Amino acid sequence: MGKIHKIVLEVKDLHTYYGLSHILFGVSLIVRQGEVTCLLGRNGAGKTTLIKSICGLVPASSGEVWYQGKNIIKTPAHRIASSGVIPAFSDNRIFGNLTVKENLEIGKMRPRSDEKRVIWTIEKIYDLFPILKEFEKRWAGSLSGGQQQILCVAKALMGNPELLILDEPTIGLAPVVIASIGEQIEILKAENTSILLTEQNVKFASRLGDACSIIDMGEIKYQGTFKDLHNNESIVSEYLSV
Amino acid sequence: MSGDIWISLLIAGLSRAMIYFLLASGLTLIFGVLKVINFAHGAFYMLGIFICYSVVKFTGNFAVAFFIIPLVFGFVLGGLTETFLFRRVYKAEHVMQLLLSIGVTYIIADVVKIIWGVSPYSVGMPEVFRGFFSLGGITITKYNLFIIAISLATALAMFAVLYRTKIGSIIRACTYSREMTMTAGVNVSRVFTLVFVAGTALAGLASVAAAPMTTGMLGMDNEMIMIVFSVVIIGGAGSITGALLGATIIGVVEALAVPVLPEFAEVIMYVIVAVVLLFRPQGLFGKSEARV
Ligand SMILES: Nc1ncnc2c1ncn2[C@@H]1O[C@H](COP(=O)(O)OP(=O)(O)OP(=O)(O)O)[C@@H](O)[C@H]1O
Ligand SMILES: [Mg+2]
Repeated sequence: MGKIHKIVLEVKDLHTYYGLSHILFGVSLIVRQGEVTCLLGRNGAGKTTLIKSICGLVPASSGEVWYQGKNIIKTPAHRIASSGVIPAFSDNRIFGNLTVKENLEIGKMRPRSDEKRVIWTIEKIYDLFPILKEFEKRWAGSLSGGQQQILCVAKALMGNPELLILDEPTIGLAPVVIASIGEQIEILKAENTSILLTEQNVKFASRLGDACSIIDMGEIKYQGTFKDLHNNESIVSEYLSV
Repeated sequence: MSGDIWISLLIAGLSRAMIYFLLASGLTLIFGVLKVINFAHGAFYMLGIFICYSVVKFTGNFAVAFFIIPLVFGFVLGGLTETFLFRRVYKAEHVMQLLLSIGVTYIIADVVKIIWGVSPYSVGMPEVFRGFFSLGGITITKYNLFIIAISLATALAMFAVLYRTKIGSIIRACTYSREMTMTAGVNVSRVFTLVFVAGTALAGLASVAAAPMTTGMLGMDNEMIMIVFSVVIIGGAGSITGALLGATIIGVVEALAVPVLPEFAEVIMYVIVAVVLLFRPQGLFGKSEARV
């Protein structure tokens, strides 16, 4: 604690539209090296839209996204991914028509930086998630929801991300599975992986998160630490409780 | 009629079915990945027949046409139409995609009319393939066997690529989710071009395979696209296995129906389509689970 880590990704004043509807209104966000940065917000707040804008899947109309010294706002999605910003979405988790092993292999990328970190290989993934080895020949679409979520994270790890983005990894999962996903994130964090985590589940996020932002109606309403957030009941009740 | 004749008819039907399959597999592959129905696929087929005629006429060699035309079709015709035309409409409404492919159909028909005129052409049966095999009372033309062999080999090769190679899993991934494929670091627009090239090469292969058994004439593209589109619908859009099964059903039923119900031979295809759609709206192998 106390030490300020270097910035991995910086979003500045981002505006995004779906057709004519204005969704993000000047969002700014910072993700630091080796930290879990949480983005909290309820249904429809704009979390997924922000991630898709960062990843180049939805074009932002204005604003900047700085990564590795470059503004990547106009960079094609596949280049952003191959430069190390790798998302795992909760709505479209896995390729259901590919086997588990094919899912892992399709996202395979070599590590890019010389940061001291694990290099993810399929063997390493199988060590961490033995269930995936057991089911490697199955169609991914035949796995249970929890298994698909594990595969979703594992598939992203195969890209050896500089920044791993997890979009509501706990949504729709049983408490036992949520707990094990939490453990896996702890492991990744211990290995110095930078993570941007979106959640509605504040309890889950606060156990893992370092920095925290709250988004509502496409605007950042709070930026700070979880500790300060816990002392600020009004913000929690205004933007996060259902 | 004796049983032997039925078997000969069946083989003839199967060889037509294989032409339908080669065309349908290209169409369905392109649809599965690009989500665009290329109605110009039939015009590609017609153009291939005319080009085959000219190549055979000038070189005197069917083998040259057989190997060169599919490649040129894929890389030149497929590559150019995808890069300069279809790529512009992926994000547009379906109506725009439809209009574009119909426009391409008209352009190709006019090109054919300008270059070859309006009279029909036939590519003669190459020397090596003339004649029959006789097995007991069954006669099978050599060319029919050749077509069936080539097409089944093509089907096997497609399955091998789709299910045994990295590019195959990337193609299947694209049919499942473009966005997710991009976030795996794959340049999806390159995959689109590749698939369009491969699909168009298959149309070229269908042309050269069909050329010795058919007559090249204007309007043949419309008839063929209706059949091939029916095959794709019966099999389930996007499914190669479905295309193979759908083509076999239509080709064989058509061949066997001609001697029995000559007046209904043309209607039967639509009856099959209607019956399949009644019981399985997504087609026989359609994606209840997205598969190629
Ligand atoms: N493809 C789309 N077209 C139009 N509007 C969309 C689209 N996707 C999302 N929206 C709208 O954008 C807003 C933000 O949605 P978004 O999915 O980013 O929210 P979210 O915070 O991820 O919500 P959730 O927790 O439900 O996943 C919502 O009002 C939603 O209705
Ligand atoms: Mg979301």
